[in-house]
Amino acid sequence: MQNFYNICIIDDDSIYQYTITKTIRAYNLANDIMVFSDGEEALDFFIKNLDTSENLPDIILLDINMPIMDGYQFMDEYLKIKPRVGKKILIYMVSSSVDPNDIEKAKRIGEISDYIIKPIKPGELISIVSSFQNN
Amino acid sequence: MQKLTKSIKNRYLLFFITIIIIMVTVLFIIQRSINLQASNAYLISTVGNQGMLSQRIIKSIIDFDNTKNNTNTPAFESLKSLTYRFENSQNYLQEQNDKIRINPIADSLLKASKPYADIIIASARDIIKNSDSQILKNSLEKVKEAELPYSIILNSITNEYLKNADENLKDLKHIMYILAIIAFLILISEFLFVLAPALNHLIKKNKELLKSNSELAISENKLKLSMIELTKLKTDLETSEEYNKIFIEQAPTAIAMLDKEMKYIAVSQQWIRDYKMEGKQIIGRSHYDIFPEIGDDWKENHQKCLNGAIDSCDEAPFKRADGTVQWIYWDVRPWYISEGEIGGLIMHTGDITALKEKDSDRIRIQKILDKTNEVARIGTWEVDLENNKVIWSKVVCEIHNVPQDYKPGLNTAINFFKEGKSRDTIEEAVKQAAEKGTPYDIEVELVTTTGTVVWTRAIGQSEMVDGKCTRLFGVFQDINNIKISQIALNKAHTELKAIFNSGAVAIVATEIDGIISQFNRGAEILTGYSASEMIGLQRPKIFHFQEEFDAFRIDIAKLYHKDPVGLSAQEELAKHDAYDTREWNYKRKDGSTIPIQLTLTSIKDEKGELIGFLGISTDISEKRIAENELLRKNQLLNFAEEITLMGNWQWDTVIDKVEWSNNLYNIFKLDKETKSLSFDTYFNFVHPDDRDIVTKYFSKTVDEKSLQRFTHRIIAGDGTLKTVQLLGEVITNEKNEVVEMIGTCQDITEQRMAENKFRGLLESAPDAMVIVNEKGKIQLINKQAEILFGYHIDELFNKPVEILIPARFTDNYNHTEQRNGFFANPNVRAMGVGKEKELYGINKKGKEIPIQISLSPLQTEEGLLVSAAIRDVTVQKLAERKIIQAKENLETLTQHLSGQNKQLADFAHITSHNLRSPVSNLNALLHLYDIEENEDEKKVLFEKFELVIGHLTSTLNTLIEALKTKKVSEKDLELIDFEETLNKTREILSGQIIKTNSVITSNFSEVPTIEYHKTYLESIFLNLITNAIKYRSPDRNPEIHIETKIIEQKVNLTIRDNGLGMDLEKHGHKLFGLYKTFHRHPDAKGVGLYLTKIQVDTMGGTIFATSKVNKGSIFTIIFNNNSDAKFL
Repeated sequence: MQNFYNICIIDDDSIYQYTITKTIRAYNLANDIMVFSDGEEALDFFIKNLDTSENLPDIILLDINMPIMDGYQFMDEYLKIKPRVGKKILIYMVSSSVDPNDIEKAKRIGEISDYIIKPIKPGELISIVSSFQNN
Repeated sequence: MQKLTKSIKNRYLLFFITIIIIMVTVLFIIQRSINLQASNAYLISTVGNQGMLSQRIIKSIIDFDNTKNNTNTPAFESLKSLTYRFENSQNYLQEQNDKIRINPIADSLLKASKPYADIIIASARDIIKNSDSQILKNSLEKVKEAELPYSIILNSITNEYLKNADENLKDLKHIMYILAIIAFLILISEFLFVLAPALNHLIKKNKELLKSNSELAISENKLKLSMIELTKLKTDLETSEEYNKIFIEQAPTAIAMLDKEMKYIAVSQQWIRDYKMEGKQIIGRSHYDIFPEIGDDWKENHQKCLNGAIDSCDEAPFKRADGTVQWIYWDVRPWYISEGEIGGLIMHTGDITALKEKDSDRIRIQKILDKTNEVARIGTWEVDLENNKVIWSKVVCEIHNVPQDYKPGLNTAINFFKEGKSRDTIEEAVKQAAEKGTPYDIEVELVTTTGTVVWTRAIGQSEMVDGKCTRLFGVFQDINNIKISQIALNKAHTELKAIFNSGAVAIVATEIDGIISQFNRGAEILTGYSASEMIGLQRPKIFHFQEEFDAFRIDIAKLYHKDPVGLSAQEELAKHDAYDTREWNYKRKDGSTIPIQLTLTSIKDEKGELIGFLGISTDISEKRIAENELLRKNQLLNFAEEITLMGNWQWDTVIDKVEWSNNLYNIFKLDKETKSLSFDTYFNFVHPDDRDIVTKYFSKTVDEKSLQRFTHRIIAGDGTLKTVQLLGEVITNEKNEVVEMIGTCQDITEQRMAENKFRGLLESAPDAMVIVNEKGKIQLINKQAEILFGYHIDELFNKPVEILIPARFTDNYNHTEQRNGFFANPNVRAMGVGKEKELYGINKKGKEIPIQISLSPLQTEEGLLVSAAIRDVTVQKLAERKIIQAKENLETLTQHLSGQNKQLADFAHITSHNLRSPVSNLNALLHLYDIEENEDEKKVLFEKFELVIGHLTSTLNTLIEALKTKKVSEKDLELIDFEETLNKTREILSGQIIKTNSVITSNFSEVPTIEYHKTYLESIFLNLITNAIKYRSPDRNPEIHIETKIIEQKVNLTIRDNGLGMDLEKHGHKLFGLYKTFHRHPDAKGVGLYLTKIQVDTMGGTIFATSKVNKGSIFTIIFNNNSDAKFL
């Protein structure tokens, strides 16, 4: 698999951060992996790098439940800065919540490509990356 | 001046410096010139010397030659030294010449001399070196040859130098001249410069001096003028003294001028005449010699005058030495030689003896006049317009009612006149008199000091001098009585005239023969005839009926016991000075008849002789009509009384006289012929059982002075039992004593029966009934109403219905307005029923009773009444309240249950999420573990497993704790002290509190305790206070304040901190969620608030927070401290 893409992980669960990073590395799915513990950290980084789009990720795996700024709040803020983002970014909501409300809410946000219930399987990761490639 | 000196001083300095500089310069130039001259002189001498030396050299050579070239001879030595000196001199000359370069000629000459000198020197040296005679010879020759031109040249040089020295001297002379001129100029200018300020000053001073000089001249002139004036004055004075003397001598009055020794200096002719001194020598003689009769007291006065006093006397008797008495006046005053120095006395006297005699006559006449005036109330007055002085005589003062010494001014005198017409009149009159001399005689009103108005007659005239009024005078008379009677007469006359001319009264006067002499307007109206038709032509017979005349004659005859035949009734009346008034009928001109009242009387002259008759008549047709009307009304009243079964009565309580109307006799069945009724007449009819209350009623009526409606029974004359109702009023006299009662008495027997029927109906009604009249006064209530409200009918009769309604409904006249509204639109309506506002009545004890009211209008003879049927709905209300309570309880329960339901759902959701998350981590780790081949990595993975499992365990513990929270029973509740709980929390957190410098304050004074689950409350305190400390601001020490309060009957607990605060707009919705954190704090777990909320919710309370970022947060718990918790 070619690994030209930057994948961004926004999740406060350190174990998850560890496993997903490990998995992406194991399957060599990304050029670079960015990890943020909550929405605000990620957003700050995005805003800082708006002008250097090569630093921005191509794929975001976004958790819902996070302190400070959760997944939805992040999306609200992201939509505000989106017109200034110079590249296409695929965003996946990744959560262990099976609450239909959460799933429905995520689906309603047009920018979110899909809602993935944890644990995320390597196959799913691979298909995400390949779907980006196809686009 | 000092400044000037200073500036001059400064300039002097400059002056000196300049002089020194000039001196130094001169010295320098002279020195230099001397030096130059010296060197020149030296040069000249050297040049001369050189010539001499050259010759001496020759001479030495020759000498040497002569000595045979012996080197040891003096000649040789001399030659050697000469040569040496020559050479030195030559060199020196050369040097000096080079140095000075006096002039080019000398220079060139010297250069020309040099070769010769060199030859001389060389030759001389040759000789010295080699004293060979040949050489000597040659050398001598050479020297000789050279010596001549050299000498010539040297001479020329000497000349040149001399010339040079001359020129130098000349130059020096020139320089000295120039220097002298320059120095002179500088010194002059400097001298001027130094003296400039002084000069300026001098010029200024000079100018001033000139000015003051001219001023001095002016003042000198003035002085001269004054001197002249003084001289003139002196002359004048002398002249005036002379004049004075002449003046005194020729004065028309008696004047004497005396010196200090009381000796005469001058006397007037009048003086001599007055004191009969003709022919006597007076001047120079002593006053006391001439008048030996002058007593010591006068002498004393004179001495006083000599000391500056003035002695004057208007009149005094002067007993002369010959025994005669002379009336004199005098004025003695000192005269002054100069200021302060008395020269003697001037006496001015007058003989007023003749005047004095006249005066006493005048006084006598005046006295007589005054007496007369007093009687006639005439006073005199005088106004001296020159001095503006007013003089009033005694009577004038009396008329004005002021004391005799009253001093009126012109204005105050005028102001006594009554404002308005009188004042205007007098002012105008006085003005005319003062300006034009017009005398006046007017009658005006005066207001005296006591305020009474008095009619006065003011007569005045003026004294004119040169067309100008100097004095006004006149008399003033009190004509009040005259005037008043005159006015009264006028008035009476006018009134009489008015009456005579009025249309209301007819006046007809006849001569003694019966012919009409007066026929006024009223008579014209009444009879229809005009005065011109009647006066002097007709007798009153024309408008009288003959039969009335006859009746009148018969009556008069009867009255005076005369035979009516041939009797003149009028004459008969006149004889007795009597008059007759009776009703007549006039036959009017148009044939109609008019009833009149005629008064007949006779007219007599002052002697009592009959001169005519007078008839005064008035139209009484109106009165007739009124009488008829009264009769008719009376009949109507009787009729009405009969119909209404009513009679009226009057009772004069003073003389106990009673009058009844016709119908009252009918009601009481008393014979109408029965006269002289009294109270007892009535009282005898009263039913024996009612006599007591009747007696009481009347005594009460007298006490209260008002007749209330009163009903009692009577037994009528025919033995029937009747019920009567009395109504009326009490009349009192000015002392407020009852003097009369008038009223009605109605037979209400049948009405009573009808009422009784109605009452029976009322009493049988199941509801309380209250009947109210239009004014809202209670008229009737039934037994049920008495039971409901606890009042007896007597207590409520005629009382406002509001007495039965709680004050909160009747405030602000609301009820009164509503009541009026009902009367405006009376219809049956029900109140207090259904969803309408609840109605309450209030009973005698003040207890409120829930009621329903049905109002219905009741049209009765007494007007519109309202009957209110009132139902006590206490029981219904109670039942209703119970149902509502039950419903409310059910609603609360439902609410609580749905809350519980939601909590359970939340819990399920949380559980699934928070358990799924570690499980999914486990799965992911497991997968990694499977694919990992590196053993080290596997070890790391295994550590992660432990971490996840640890997390899972703690989550499970939290959930279990949350689950445990759900189980709470009533027995877990206990009374907990907030203060105690806080102290316990403090103990637990003591480490953190100390470490963070936290300050925890509290106020539990309003609610010190609560019945609650102890563990929960402790947990709540612990969690919230821990949070407050944990999320403190790094900029300040934590300050936490905990307080309990009652708000809307619920216990509120607030925990306020000054920590980081939160953006609740962002996070408010997840504040109490599990694992929700809002700060990147290492200890933030998101469990505390979750558990706290569960605990609060479980106990039926609510928790919420308000917060401001960087200011702090307030957590508020509203405890549900009613019994709701029991439903769990």
